[in-house]
Amino acid sequence: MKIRSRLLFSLLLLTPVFSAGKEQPVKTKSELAAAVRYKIPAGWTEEFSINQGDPQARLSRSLHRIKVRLSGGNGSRYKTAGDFLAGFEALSKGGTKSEKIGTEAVSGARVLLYRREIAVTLPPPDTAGPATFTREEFCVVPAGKRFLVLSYSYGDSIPDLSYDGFKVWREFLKGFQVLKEKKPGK
Amino acid sequence: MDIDIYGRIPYTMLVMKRRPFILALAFMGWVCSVPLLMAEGLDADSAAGGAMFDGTPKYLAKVAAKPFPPAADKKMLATQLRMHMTLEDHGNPEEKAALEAVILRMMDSPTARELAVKFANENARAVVSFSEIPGSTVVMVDGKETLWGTHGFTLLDRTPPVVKINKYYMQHDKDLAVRVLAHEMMGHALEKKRTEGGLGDDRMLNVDEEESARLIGWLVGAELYVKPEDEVWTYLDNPEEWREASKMWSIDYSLTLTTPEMKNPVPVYKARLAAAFKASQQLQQQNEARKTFDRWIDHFITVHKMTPDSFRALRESFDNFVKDLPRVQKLHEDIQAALQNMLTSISSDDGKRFLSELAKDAENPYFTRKDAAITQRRVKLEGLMMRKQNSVANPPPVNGQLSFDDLNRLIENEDKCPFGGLK
Repeated sequence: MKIRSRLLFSLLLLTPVFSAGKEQPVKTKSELAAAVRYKIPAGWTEEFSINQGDPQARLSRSLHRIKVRLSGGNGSRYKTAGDFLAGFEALSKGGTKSEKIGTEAVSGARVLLYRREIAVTLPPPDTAGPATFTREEFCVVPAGKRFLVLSYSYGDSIPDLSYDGFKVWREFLKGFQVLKEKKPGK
Repeated sequence: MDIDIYGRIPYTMLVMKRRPFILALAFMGWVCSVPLLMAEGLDADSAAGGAMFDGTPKYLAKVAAKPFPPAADKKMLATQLRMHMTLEDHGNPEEKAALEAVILRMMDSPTARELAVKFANENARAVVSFSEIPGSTVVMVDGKETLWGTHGFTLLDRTPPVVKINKYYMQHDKDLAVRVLAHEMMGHALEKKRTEGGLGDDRMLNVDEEESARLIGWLVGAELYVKPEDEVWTYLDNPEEWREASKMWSIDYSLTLTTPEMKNPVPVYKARLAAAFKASQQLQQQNEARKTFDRWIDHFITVHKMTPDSFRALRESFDNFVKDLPRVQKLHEDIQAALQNMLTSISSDDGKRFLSELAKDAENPYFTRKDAAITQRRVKLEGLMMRKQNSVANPPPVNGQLSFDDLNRLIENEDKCPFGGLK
């Protein structure tokens, strides 16, 4: 079977979304730092951006990627965690529902862990052809009046035999902490 | 002169022949498409056709105020739109009939009806034909004949723009031809008309051009119940990430900017160049990973005497990657060269003037209106697609074929196996 050429969709995860100078990442970093605490896995890098109105940290090692997104604030695509879970970002390949694969204790809360398939390659522009997919695991964690979306994926349709990203992701979740909102002083 | 299958001059040729920064812009996709064939007298035919029509202005004035002209008016609208189009049928009445049918069917879509009125009111024009597009293959997907190849394209350097639809759609998946026509004609040809006499190059440099055209095509498709492609779901999942990802899909797209980015593109291009370089390196790692899996499969066949056929699907996926690798590698190199050339060009005195004009143009209401239209169409598409949830089932796994999960389990168990792992 002849397969048409494909394009690497996973590359999006390599390109910083922010572009308007350095102020935005710095502000994003401080906003996230005030809300959460986590340990960057050894050998991973971290970068900050705004994604769909939400401050986001993107940790990566090769094509392994963990995203920490603080959602539900002003300008966010979602007002509540329910909106997120009913939205397109919680859908799998072909608009099917994500699979519930279990629960995980994250920062003292037991949260549902979901799995979905996301495209890593799409056919070239204006062209019909096959796409390839990878798995993403994600969970939604309450954070005061807001919520966090934590996710992990590997940006290739074949797994990485040399590195167990899923194991690192589960360890990351175990050490993840949501900080209590500071009450304003009297 | 090197010309690609769609009649476009490669980027490098342009850069060599003309002033670089303008040329980088001029290259922007469809704009710099160079004609392979020139059909003479199309403008004159098209204009004459428009002049012959009687009754359009009155009708247009009546429906222009309505957001979506009623479906009952579809024949009137199709006739009116037809007066702004020249159909090239290559002397084949069947082609003409098929094109007429596509236009009429397009009028079943409220979005297409709305845009048809605008197309006519704004006196836009297009030459439309079915065309054999090299590289098209018909394959079986889920038991259905499916085209793998280019849907269609528009030569925007022509006046009026020339829209080519893959001839496959003349006989099969006719509603896809409708979606392609809406994308090309209402998305690209109409916008060209809107920026005549200014903003043309900046329009093509703005990411809105393609996003807007795609949204129009997808909306028309959704309204006609065309099965959405994977890209539609990917776009709705996260439009910002889709926009970023699209920068690595072609040289044209790699240079596109959002309206805010037009005000200060230098850091954007620098970041993109670094990302393109990193992507090239990762491509090699991905290739190595496939080779390792391939060696594991050899191991299970030779040492464990497993049936070679059970690995067929996995090996096919490796082969596809390997076959496509030279093209993707070349694309990455070309994108890096294009970005580097752009950065060099905009650092010149001419380039600085260009940047200043670009920043000024970013404030043009044309882009503000287009950004707003994109948001509006995205919300509408979200509404339509939400109702389509769960409508597409994943194809069942192929009988007797191992998946990556199966292969991973075999590899994990190998640690306990006395044969001892990969040599």
